[in-house]
This record gives sequence, C-alpha cells and structure tokens, in this order.
Amino acid sequence: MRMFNSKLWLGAASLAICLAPVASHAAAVAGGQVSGQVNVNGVVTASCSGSIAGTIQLGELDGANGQLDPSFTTNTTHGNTVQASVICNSNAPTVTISATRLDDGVTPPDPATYTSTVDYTARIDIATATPGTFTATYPTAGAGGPQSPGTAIGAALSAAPNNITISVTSLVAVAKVLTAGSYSGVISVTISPS
Amino acid sequence: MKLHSLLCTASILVALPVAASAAPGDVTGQVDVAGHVTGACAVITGNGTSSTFTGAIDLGELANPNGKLNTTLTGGPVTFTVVCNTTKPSISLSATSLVGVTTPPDATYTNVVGYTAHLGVVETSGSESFSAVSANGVPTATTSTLANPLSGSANNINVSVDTLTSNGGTLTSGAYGTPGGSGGIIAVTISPT
Repeated sequence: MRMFNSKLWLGAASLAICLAPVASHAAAVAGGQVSGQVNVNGVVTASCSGSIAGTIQLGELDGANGQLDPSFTTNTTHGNTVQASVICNSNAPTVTISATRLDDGVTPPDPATYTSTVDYTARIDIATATPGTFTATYPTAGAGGPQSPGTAIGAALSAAPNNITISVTSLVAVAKVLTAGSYSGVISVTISPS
Repeated sequence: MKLHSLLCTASILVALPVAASAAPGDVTGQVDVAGHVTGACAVITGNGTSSTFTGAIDLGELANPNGKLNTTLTGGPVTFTVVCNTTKPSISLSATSLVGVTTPPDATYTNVVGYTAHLGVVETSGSESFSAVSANGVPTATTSTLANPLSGSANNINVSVDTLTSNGGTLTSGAYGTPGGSGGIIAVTISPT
C-alpha cells in the first residue's frame, strides 16, 4: 500500500508538469476535459531571385585615326544599358561585380603601334528601398578577379521592376591603333542575400 | 513510401535552377559587352586625319641642252603617314605619263614623257617597294597585299619617280603634267584588306 501511494505521488507530479504549460487555460477547462496547444513554426531562408542577362552594344570603337574614339572615355554610359529585376528578402544584401576587358582576339602585329584590348569600367546601379541608388563599379584596367567578399548594398532592394541597371563607362584610351575585329568582354554580377 | 519518394523528386526538380548560383540564395548573372572595329585606313595629318593625301614631285627642267629628255632625272620622295588597323593591308599603284601642253609639230618632237613611279611602304617588320610604269592613257595598276601591317611610325609611305622615258624626240616646250599640261598623276590606294 505504501508502494502504491509512492507511484500515485509520482503520477501526480507528472500531471503537474504537463499541466503547467496550459495553466492559462486551466480556468477554461472543465473537469474531465483535456486541453493543449500546437506551436506552428516556419522559416524563410535568406535568398535572392531574379535573372541578370543581356548584351551591351558599344558599336564602332575606333575614331578616325584608328585609335579608340575619344567620346568613349567619358565617365558616362556608353552603349545601351541592361536592366534586370532582382528580389532579395534580406535587409543586408551584397553585390559582387567583376568584368573582363574588351578583346578581339587578334594578336597585335606590333604592340608598340597596335592594341587588341580596351579597358573600361563596369557599373551596376541598384535601386534600394531606402529609397535610393547604390552604385558599384569595377575597372577592368589592372583588375584581377571579382570584388571580394562582396560589397554591402546597405539597404534592402527596391521591389520595383528593373531595380538593377548594368552599364559601361570610361573606356580607357591608349595611343595605339585598335586592330580590326569584334571586341567582347563579360560583366559578372552576383547579388547575395547577405 | 511512394508519397515520400514523390516529394523528394519534386524537391530536386525545384532545386535544380538554383544550382547555377554561386551559393544557395544568390543571383548570378552575366552581361556581355560587345563592340567592333571596322577595318580601315586613314591618313594622319598633324593632329587630324583624312581619307586622302596629296603631294607634288617637281622634276624641274625635263630637257637636256640638246632638247632631248634628260633621262637621269629623279623626283621625290614625298612622304605621308597612313595607319591601317588590319594585319594585311593592300596597295594599288598606277601612274599616267607626263603630257606637255604643246602638241608636237611632227614626229621628230614629243610631248609625252614616261616614268616609273615607286611606292615605298614601311611595315612593322621591314619595308616593301612597289613600282608602276606610267602609261599615256589608262594605266595598269600594280596591286599587292602587304607582307606585314603598316608601321605606326610617321612618314611610313613614300612616293618617288625615276627612269624617265620618251620616244627620243625633241621635247616640245611648255608645262608637262597637271596642271598646265596633262597626265603626270600617280594614284595610290591603300586598303585595309
């Protein structure tokens, strides 16, 4: 009998522990009924979505003397821009931009006279929710590899369409004749949630 | 069990597009930058450029004291600076004979003087020379593709004249070549290809 009482006591203790979380409901629970609660959880993983692609056409690069047309050297947009819509669900996204110089793949016959590459500055403008615009640039001249680990944009992205604009500015003139051919370069962009 | 497998399959299918990203949740993109340089040649004129060049070679007195052509005369060179952005420019050279303003009174006279025009081209490696014999009428052009690109140095094109010829008659007096007479034109074309 004494042992029976001990088990009963433990059973009462367990009941007390179980009831504790629902103490606030205790008053509403009628005798003989059971009450409980279910916690609902979820998670939103920090991420960005969207697509960035396109081509910036600069057109004819050389001027009358065969060298880079001086009009390309200004710190303004040359050729068309490429716009994209990117959504990030974080308040602290980052952007990484890198670019390769324009090259027509022709070996300059005389490096002192001719060149087959043109450096420029790749630029990305990001509309933020601030509102405002965050700008990052990447000059191909002397550059190696992407910006690392990524530049903080400093604000959430704007939710407006075409909140990303990529452009080319400030082509670098050298006193050499550009070899004839098709010039191409690549701007690479990564937008991360943090 | 089948439901679980189905859910896994669906998850993989959804996840695949993200595989191209640098990291999960990143957006990566690529923008191509394109431009072009059309093959072309230009004449450098001081700080400017032109599509043409002109010059003059004055041979002076053409006749010896005996009235016959002085065949030892030479003229030039006159020099120009031309740039081409291609690796294999080509040239064309032709010349018209000097024609005097006075018509010969008979066969013992002449007002036509022939010559050989020379075109010298300084290239990135060495130089080349081309020649064309003048014609009294429509000349035959000498054409060629250069062995190398044009040098970027100044005065990389030169034109000269030598080897004057005639029919051996007495030269009529007056101006020869253009203006004054006629002919005496050396035509040079340098093309990017």
